[in-house]
Amino acid sequence: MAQTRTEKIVIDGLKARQTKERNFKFFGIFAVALAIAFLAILLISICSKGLPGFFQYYATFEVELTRERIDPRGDMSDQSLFEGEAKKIINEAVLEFTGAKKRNEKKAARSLLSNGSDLRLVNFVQKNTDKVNSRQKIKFALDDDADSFFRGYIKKQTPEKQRRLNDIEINYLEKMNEAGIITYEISDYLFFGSASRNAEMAGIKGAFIGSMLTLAVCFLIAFPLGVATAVYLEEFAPKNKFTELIEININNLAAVPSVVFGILGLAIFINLFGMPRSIPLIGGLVLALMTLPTIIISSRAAIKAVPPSIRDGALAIGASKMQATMHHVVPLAIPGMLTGTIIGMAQALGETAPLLMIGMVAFIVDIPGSITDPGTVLPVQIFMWADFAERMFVHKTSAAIIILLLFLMIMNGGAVWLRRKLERRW
Amino acid sequence: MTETVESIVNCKNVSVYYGQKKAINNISIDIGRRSITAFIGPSGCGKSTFLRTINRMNDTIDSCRIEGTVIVDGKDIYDPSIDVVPLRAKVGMVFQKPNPFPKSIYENVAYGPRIHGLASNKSELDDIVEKALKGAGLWNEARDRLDESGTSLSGGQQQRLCIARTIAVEPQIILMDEPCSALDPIATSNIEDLMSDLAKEYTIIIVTHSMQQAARVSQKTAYFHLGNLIEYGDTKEIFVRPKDSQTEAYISGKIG
Ligand SMILES: Nc1ncnc2c1ncn2[C@@H]1O[C@H](COP(=O)(O)OP(=O)(O)OP(=O)(O)O)[C@@H](O)[C@H]1O
Ligand SMILES: [Mg+2]
Repeated sequence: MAQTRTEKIVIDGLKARQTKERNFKFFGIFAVALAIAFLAILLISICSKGLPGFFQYYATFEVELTRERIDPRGDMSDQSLFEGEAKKIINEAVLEFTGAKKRNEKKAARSLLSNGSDLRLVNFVQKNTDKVNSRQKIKFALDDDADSFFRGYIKKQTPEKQRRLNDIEINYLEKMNEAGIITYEISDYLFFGSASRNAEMAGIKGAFIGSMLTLAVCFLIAFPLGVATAVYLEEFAPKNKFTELIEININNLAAVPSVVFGILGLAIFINLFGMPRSIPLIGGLVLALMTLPTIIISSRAAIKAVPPSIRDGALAIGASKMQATMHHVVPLAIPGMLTGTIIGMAQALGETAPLLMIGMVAFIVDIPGSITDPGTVLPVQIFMWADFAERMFVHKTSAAIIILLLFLMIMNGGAVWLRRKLERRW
Repeated sequence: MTETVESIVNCKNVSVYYGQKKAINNISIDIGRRSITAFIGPSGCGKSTFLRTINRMNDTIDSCRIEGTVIVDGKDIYDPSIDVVPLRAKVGMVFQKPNPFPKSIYENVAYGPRIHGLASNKSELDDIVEKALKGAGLWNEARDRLDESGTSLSGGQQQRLCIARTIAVEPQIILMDEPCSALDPIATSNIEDLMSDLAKEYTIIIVTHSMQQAARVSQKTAYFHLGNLIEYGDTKEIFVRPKDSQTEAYISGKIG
């Protein structure tokens, strides 16, 4: 059969088309590879810095838990234990082990354990009242300089004047190591500690709980409000200039830098309403303002994606507009709405700037128990730690970043799971 | 109009506009109770638009405006005091594309009775669902899979489910907009048989592109052209002796 005119033209142009397609494919693969490479570099650098942050060095000492010394009032109350001689008992154990005699030797020996060691002893006693009046082996965290020595950041070869540990201290640490009482373990301070100026005692518990409380407030406000707004605008609002203006404004709000919402929160909630600073309630309110546009926009898209034939089907058998919306449109749109909400919440979880504006950057040791207790959040905690020079803070900063990322991944995973579950219903 | 049948829908001087565009031009028509009336005409002539004025589904289109009076069972349905909910419970509609809810077969049929409160307990609701599915000729196929999704049925079954959903609320009038256009000949003939059965109880108005279908099922036929009602009368008359030359041209396949 003879070639038709069309066939001939098409075949002539085929080479050029195929080349174009190949180039485009190549470009796509290149872009994806680049993205993956960056992601890998990021993950590797965070993990290599952050994984050591999950561990720290501990020294185990045997201490004599004499009742009268630990608990002078004899009622095991916080106050009594606080007045007791925990610190002295620990120091005695260390001095005994090191054999320090002279003043500078004693000073060196006492500086090796973390400042929080007495608190640790008190906590141990509170948890194990039956072990009082006996000799017990207790694990104490090393001071961060001592910790740095074992990590290899402080070297013996460096001239004494130029390192943060003197010869006596290094000598004692080596002695402890030879005695086998030094252990490298998962850091309980990281998970159960709170904000602290002492690197070895600093932990994320307070910030984590602050994040949870803040996000809870944010979700409880932003989700119902956002979904209701989206449903109203999409299904009920008359289409006129006024609603158009509202729509434009909502879309613009999504692009407003988050710090602006912080200033707004500062002006309204704190200055106008006189609410206290640094509390998760206000943090949540501010983040809710920030996430609302995201939720509204994605919810509207989800509602738009529901086939109109479903709505018509309900209306045609006499469902009111409200019933058609609530029984059919919203349930079908919920998975999409949730996706948008989770994206908004994930953004909120990582947000720092607006929370700085409302004072959630304050140094707060107590763990917030409610949304009206002062607190901080994970990213702000990371931001604060990143400012400290201690090696241990560098590691803990990265460890906290890993935890934040894990938290995000769990949230996203939860969203995907929820979406699947809701979509699979039919 | 040779036979005198009691009419249930009376339209007088009805015009419908989409924005500035006039889609229906001054149509007056009376439709008989417990009969099948077919609307035919070339694509875009306004059959669907006119059908949707009878249950006010045009209300969902913002740009749509209606003039004239539509009286259903003695009541002016465009009177400001009328609520569309009871109207649509009385005038049901089946769409061109089957649109079951993404819920179980049972829930699809039970939805109407439930929102209107037609059943006072579960067993009454079960009875209504069974009766509606039987009425739509779907009971034998669906009785064992009432919990399965309505969207898991075949196209023809889905359309019968939509009919069951409509008759479950016991309307008086059923509007059908090309209900068989997505179906094969066997499913089509099932639905046609069903319509003839239903016409003993219900008034059916059907829009169709199939001359044969109109001829087979309807007692009366209305021919629309460019928003005008050109000819309306007994189906036999129209197909055998059309009075209007346009009607004749359309029926014999010269236009459309
Ligand atoms: N939502 C709408 N907005 C604007 N114009 C519309 C709308 N729906 C229909 N029309 C117009 O109204 C006229 C009649 O449309 P209609 O859908 O009633 O035709 P039809 O007879 O049902 O055609 P078909 O046989 O193809 O379904 C057409 O010109 C169409 O373009
Ligand atoms: Mg149509």
